[in-house]
Amino acid sequence: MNRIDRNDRINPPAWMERLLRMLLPAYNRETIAGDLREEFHERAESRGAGPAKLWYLRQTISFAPRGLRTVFSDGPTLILLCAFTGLCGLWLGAMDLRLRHPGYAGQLGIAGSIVSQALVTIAALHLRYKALRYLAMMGCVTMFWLSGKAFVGVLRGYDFEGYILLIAVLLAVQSALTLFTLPWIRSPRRGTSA
Amino acid sequence: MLDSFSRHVYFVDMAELLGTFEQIVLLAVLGLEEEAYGRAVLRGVQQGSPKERTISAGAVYATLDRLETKGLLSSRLERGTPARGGLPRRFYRVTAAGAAALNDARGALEKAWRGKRWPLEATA
Repeated sequence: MNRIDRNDRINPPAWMERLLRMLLPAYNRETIAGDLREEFHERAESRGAGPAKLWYLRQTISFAPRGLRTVFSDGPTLILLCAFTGLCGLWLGAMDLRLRHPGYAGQLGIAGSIVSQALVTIAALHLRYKALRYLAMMGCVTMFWLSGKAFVGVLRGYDFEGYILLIAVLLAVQSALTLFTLPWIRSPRRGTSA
Repeated sequence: MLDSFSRHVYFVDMAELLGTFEQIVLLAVLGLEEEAYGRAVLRGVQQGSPKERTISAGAVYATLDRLETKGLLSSRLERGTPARGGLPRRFYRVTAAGAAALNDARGALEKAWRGKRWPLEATA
């Protein structure tokens, strides 16, 4: 079933247009959607609706890798993860300070590094300084190591500490998302008028 | 010491040279003059690419965005036509820095090709 507009032109399927808009950055959402719609009309007239839809779907998919990065860097996913792991780090640190088990100084260091990593990542997402980006990406290596160590520790331990496992998994996901999104964040654009 | 400094400077310059696809996109914008909006650039890039293949819109728009962020392109928005459902058009223009970057890239390539026969033949 084709979508026909007021001028009797076939429009791209609504779900494809919605998907495209989801994947596009806010800065260019309207302009790219308009360009592709214009090209779709011409292709639908010259080659038929089927090939035009196929072409439109291919173009939409071509925006997916960048779109996903935009979703993670501009959206709340990574910030929420950082906020949660940061709070977990604070809680772990507070508990270590209170209970003062043997070797608690080392545990405090780990809690501090989790909190710092969360803060640096959030700062890198918002301030967009190169140095902060590199710092956050380097910190991911430590976080991967920490989460791996915690994972093995929980699996080998006598008591199953589910909360440690949860923090370890979230830290690994946070680090993976950080490495996926931060290299693509750039400084604000220059020389543009609306 | 001076040698290592000049090598470092040369390395930085080479790293700042435009990639082939960036050059094709900039040249397409340059060729379209006042008509360089996204769809026209996409078509221009397709015609200017060395092999006849479909270039994905995602790659072209990502490059336009990157070049604009670097200050090699500037853009302005204009109201859309009914054919686009009223959606606006973004028109691009090559900046002075963009033209200089294209000149640098061409100059570097011409220097590298100097004295070489075309087309190249395998040496081994």
